[in-house]
Amino acid sequence: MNPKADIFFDAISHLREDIVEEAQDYRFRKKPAVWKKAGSLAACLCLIASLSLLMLPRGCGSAGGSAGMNTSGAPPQTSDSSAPADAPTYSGNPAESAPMPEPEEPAAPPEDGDGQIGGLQLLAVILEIREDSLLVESGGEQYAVFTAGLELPELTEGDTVRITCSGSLLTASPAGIPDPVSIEKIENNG
Amino acid sequence: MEDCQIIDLYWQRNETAIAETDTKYGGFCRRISTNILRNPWDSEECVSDAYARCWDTMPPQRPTSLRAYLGAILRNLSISRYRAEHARKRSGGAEVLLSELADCVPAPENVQRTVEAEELGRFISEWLEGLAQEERVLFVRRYWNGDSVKMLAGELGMRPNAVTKRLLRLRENLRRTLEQEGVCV
Repeated sequence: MNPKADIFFDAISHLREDIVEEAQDYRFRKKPAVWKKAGSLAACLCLIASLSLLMLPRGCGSAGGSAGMNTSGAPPQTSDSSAPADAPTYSGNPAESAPMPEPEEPAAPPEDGDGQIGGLQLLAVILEIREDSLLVESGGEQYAVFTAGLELPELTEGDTVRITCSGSLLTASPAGIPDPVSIEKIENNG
Repeated sequence: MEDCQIIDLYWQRNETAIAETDTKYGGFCRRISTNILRNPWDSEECVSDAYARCWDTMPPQRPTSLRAYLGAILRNLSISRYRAEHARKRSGGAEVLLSELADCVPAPENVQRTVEAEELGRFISEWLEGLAQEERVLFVRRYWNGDSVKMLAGELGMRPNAVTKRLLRLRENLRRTLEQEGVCV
C-alpha cells in the first residue's frame, strides 16, 4: 500500500463542514434501469396491439356497426375498403359511400328457436306498396323491401313496420333489403 | 432538538447534551465508525470517545454543524484505532478506502510544495466545490462516510461496477488537478 494514501485519509477528515453536511442530507435521483425502460416500451406496444385487435372488427363496419343495426355479431358488410371482399355492393353508384341509416328506435333482436339472435332489424314507415316490394323509409333513407314469398299483414302506406332480414342491406339508391324474413306491423297510419 | 440547542447544553455543561447527541446522531456515528473499523465493539468505543471529545472541546468550540463536527472527530478516532490495531493486517473497511485513495496521489514531477493533511483537506474541498453536486456527494459519501459501493449503487439505481468506474474517474480527476497545481503529499 502507498503510505501517501494515508494523508488523503486524514485530509478527507478536514473537508469543509458545509460539504459534509450537504452529502448527509442529499438524496440521489435514482436512474431507472434500462430493462425497465425497455419493459415499459414493450408493455405499451402490447397494449396498443391488443387494443387495435379488439377495435378492428367494429372499426371495419363503422357505419352499420355504430348504428347498432347489425345484431348478429357478424362483421358488417359495407362498401368500406376494409370490408370483406364478398360484401354485396353496387359498384359505380355514388350512394355506395352513404352511411347506413339508423333505426328510429332500438329494436329488440329476434330470436330463433334455439334462442339465437337473427339478422338485421329496422323500423320503417311504408311509403309505397308495390306488387312484389315495399318502398319504406328508415332513418332518412329509402329502402326497397322485396316481399315475394312473404306473408304480409294488411298494410297501408304510412304504416310503421318492423322488418327483419337475414342478409345484409344493399346500399344502392334506393337501398334494398333483398331477403326479408318477416315484416310486422307496429303502428297504423295516423 | 436542534443542533444549536444541543450545543448550548454542552456550553451549559449539562450532561443531557451527550444523551441528546446520541439520540439525534447515534446511528450516524455508529455507521461512520463501523464503515472504517468493521467491528461493532470498537465502533461503540469510538462513538463514546467522540462524545467525550465533544464534551471536552465545547466550549470553547461552537461548530455550525454538529453532525459534521462530530463526524470529523469520530473519523479521526476511528482511523487512529484502525492504525493502532490493524497496522499489520488487512481488513475490508479502511484498507479498501486507503487502497482506492492511493489513486489520488500525484506523480512526483513538478512538485512545488508538499502539503499536510489539513491543507490538503482544504484543497480537496475546493476541488469538490467545482464538481457537479451528485459527483461531490458521491465522493464524500464514499470517502468521508465510508459507505460501501454496493450501498451507493443501490441509492443511485446503478450497478456497483458503474459506481466503481465513476469513483475511479473522480479520483483520477483529483490526481490530475493536484498535479496541475504542483501539489505533492
